[in-house]
Amino acid sequence: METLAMTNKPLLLLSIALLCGGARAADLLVIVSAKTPAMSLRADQVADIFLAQDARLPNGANVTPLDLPVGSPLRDQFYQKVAAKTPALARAYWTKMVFTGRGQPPREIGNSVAMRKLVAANPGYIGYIDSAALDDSVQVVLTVGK
Amino acid sequence: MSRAGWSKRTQPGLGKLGMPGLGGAPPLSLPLFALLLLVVIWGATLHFIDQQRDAAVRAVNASLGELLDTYEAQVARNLGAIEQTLKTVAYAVKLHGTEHAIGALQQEDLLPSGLIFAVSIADASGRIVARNPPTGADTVRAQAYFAHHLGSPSEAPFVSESIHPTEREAWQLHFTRRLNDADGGFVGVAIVDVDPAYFATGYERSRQGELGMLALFGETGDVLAMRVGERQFAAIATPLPASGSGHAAPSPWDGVWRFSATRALPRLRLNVVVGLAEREQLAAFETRRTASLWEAAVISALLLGAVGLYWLWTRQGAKTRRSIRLAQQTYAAASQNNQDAFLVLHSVRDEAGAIVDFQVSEANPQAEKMTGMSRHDLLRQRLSVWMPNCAANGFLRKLAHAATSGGVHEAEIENLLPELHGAWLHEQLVGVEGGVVAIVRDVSARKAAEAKMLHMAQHDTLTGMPNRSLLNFRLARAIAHADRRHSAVLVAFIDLDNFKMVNDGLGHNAGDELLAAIAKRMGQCLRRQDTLGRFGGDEFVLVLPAHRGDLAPCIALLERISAVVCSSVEINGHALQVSCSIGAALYPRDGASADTLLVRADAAMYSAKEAGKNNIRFYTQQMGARDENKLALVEELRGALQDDQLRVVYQPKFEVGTGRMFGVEALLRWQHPLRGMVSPLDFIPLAEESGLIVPIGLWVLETACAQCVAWQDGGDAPITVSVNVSARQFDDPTLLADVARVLRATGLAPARLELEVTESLIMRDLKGAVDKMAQLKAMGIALSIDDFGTGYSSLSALKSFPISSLKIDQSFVRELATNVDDQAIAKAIIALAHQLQLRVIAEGVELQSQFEFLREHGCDEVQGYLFGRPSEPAVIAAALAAQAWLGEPTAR
Repeated sequence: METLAMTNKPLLLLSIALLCGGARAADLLVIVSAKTPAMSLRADQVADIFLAQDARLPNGANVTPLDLPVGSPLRDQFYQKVAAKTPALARAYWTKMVFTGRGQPPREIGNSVAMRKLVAANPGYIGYIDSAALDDSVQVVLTVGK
Repeated sequence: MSRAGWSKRTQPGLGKLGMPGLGGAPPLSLPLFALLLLVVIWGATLHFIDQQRDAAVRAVNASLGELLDTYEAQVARNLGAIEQTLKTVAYAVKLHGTEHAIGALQQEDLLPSGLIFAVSIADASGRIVARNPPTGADTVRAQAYFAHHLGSPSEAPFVSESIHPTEREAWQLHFTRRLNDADGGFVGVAIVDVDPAYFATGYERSRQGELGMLALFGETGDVLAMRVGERQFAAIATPLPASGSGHAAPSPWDGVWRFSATRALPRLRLNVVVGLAEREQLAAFETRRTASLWEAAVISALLLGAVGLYWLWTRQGAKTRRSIRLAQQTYAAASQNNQDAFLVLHSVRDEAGAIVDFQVSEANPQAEKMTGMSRHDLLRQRLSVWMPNCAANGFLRKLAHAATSGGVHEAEIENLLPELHGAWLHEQLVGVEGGVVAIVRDVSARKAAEAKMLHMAQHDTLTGMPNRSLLNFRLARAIAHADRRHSAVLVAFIDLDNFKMVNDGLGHNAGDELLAAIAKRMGQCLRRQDTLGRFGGDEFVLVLPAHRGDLAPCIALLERISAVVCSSVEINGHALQVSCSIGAALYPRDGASADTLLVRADAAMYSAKEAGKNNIRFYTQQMGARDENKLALVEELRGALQDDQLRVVYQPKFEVGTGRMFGVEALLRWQHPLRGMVSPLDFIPLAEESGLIVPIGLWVLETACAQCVAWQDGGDAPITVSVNVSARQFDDPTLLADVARVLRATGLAPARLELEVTESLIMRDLKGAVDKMAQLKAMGIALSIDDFGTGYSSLSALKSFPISSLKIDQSFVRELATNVDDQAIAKAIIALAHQLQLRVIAEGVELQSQFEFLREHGCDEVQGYLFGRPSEPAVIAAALAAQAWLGEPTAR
């Protein structure tokens, strides 16, 4: 191990730097207002709420999901990670939901900051933001890794 | 098998014979019944399938109705929502103007999800001034709806498809509405664009399968949106499917048969259509239908199989019954009309299983005759009652043995049972299960006939004495007996002297009477152990068992015989007296075998005759020399035929008038390897005596006939061939058959064959000879009398002979030139023959003077050394050829 570390030192350092930078840049956080009681959600609970399968939090409170605009990378990443749906699948899903009248896609909010503000102001909302937009006004209920 | 079974088998009921009935044949109704069952099975199956199909179709149509209701509701609701959006946009435009209306609605979350619906506003020039989501075309001026709204004041929603969609602008359905200002002026168009596939999203594979169909049609058969399984169709033109037919019909776009239903949405001039593929919806039914058909087929096959088997079984049964009935009828007919008595006897057993008695269970008419009892009395009769002696005389034991051992026991027995008629019975006891079938035939008549025939075969008819064959047998037996006892046998040949004179002088009947009388007298002299037999003619043979060293009793007996023969016999008023010559040979002194003894006794008899008749002579060595030679010659003659030492030569015969050679006489020659040429005068009598003349004569006949045909085939003019027939040959019962066979085998025409018989031969038995000659003549064969003049033919008999020519014996011809007596005889014979319409031939003509005499006196034909010696066939052929070539006679 010692000899290995000595010989590969520059490469090892580069790898660590890349890992840290990537994590910080792409972390996606599911948030609710800081005013709601502290909680955390599992990915499937989050997916149910965002796919209009469930309209309540585990504590029983009504909740309304908010989306980022169609085509935003963060939105695609969110559905991929949380609901295992590509954009096309998500669209097909919603097409059927809307046509059959079983649900409507979440309202779209322009960006992470607007999302954070709206969620912070309304305890009945749930949204997701880039980790860079996080502040104390909201609480993270699920961290969706890379 | 049980007793009942046995009795059933052996009591055929003796029914009347008749045509075998047709009863028991399988009834015709069976196949009809099977056919009916098949009709029922298939009728029910097909009806059931029909019902199932109706039910399945009803279910499909019901399902179709539900689908249509659901789909219509979904489409209607979505269209309502889109209309509402258009209204909202129109309102927002009134409040905020075209450019800000979208933003305001977005702010208030009043727009539908951009994920599905693209909402945009075009201004009065067709330019897009606002939209959500933000991408899309810049102008809609070219779209049909823009022109429509520009031209029409109506604010009703309008539905259209995109025209010339590009890569960037996907195919869309446009829902549009005219935007007015407060004064009703045209300010633009509100547009909601939707992917057509959206309207087919309601497709559920769980309900509609892979080939079901959801479609949104325009007013006239233009497909706005359609989904079949996972496939999307758009912008195809196809007639709007007729609604509610309840039947499947092929869809024009993919050929799949579907049930379909249509409902119009009149406000937007749209139609919703749902379809279900027949193949999928009726799959379960089809499976059931196939299963039902299989079931029916299997049941049918089983039914047919069962009926077939039953039919075969009944047919087999009928056949079996018929063959049993036939067998019974056959048995009845056979036993009824059989000449044998049939008795079916049923064993009666004691406790230990041993057969102690029999009971008659069947009898035929012949059995009634043989037993003298009626069938009714016979049946149920116990053997022990019917034949009380059956146990004592072994009959019961014999039957029991046959019954237990089975098989056929056949025997010819002298009848000892008083209950059965007939002296001799032929019985067949057939052991069968449970008893015995006794088949008995009365063979008494046959036995008697056999005994009579045997007696006839062994005895002389005239005297009733043993004949040659029985005497030979007795002699052999006596020799065997003497061997054991070390005793002797005396064999004596007795020949009457001058008997021929009696025969010739007083006639055959007188001769026969004399023979019978003398034989009777001689017989009276015999002791019990002696045998006297007649060898034919006036020859008798005596076999006397004797003691070695003491021949006195035998000699005394011979002398007594000699004496009784000499006493006179009165016949037809004449007192006749004959004497006899007796020659005797003694076993074992003079010979070891019967043949030798007979030959030597014969020699002794000749010796006695030569010594002056009325004499008794015993055999001596001196007499033997001639006889040994004779015996050896007979043996050699026997081999001669096999060793090809015999041959046939041919002496030509000529017509006196023309000199033409018209035939040949076949003459036998014996070329002996050591003795050289043996004279026919030496060996023919030997052959006659030993009987060898029969096969030899037949061989000559075959050879001569074949040769005659060969000349003819060789191209020579047909000639006749004469063959001599000896007495022994003539007597042979197969003569006629042999001659016919030879003619057939060689192919010689019967008219070309002439048989020569001697006068003395005919005279031995005139009537028999004439009969036989008549039969030969009837076959077409010519007959002639050989050696005419030497015998004692009665001239009156001569005219009854069926002959065509007479031959003057060479003894008369020899001295014809000089002897006046012979000349007289020859002249008389010629005259006699011509009187009787017979031709005359003279043999042995050697001198021209003889020929001159014969020609002068009208003799018809001649043969002799003067004209031609007996010759080989080739010489004859050459002479025939020369005669043909010259065309003139060769005789002088």
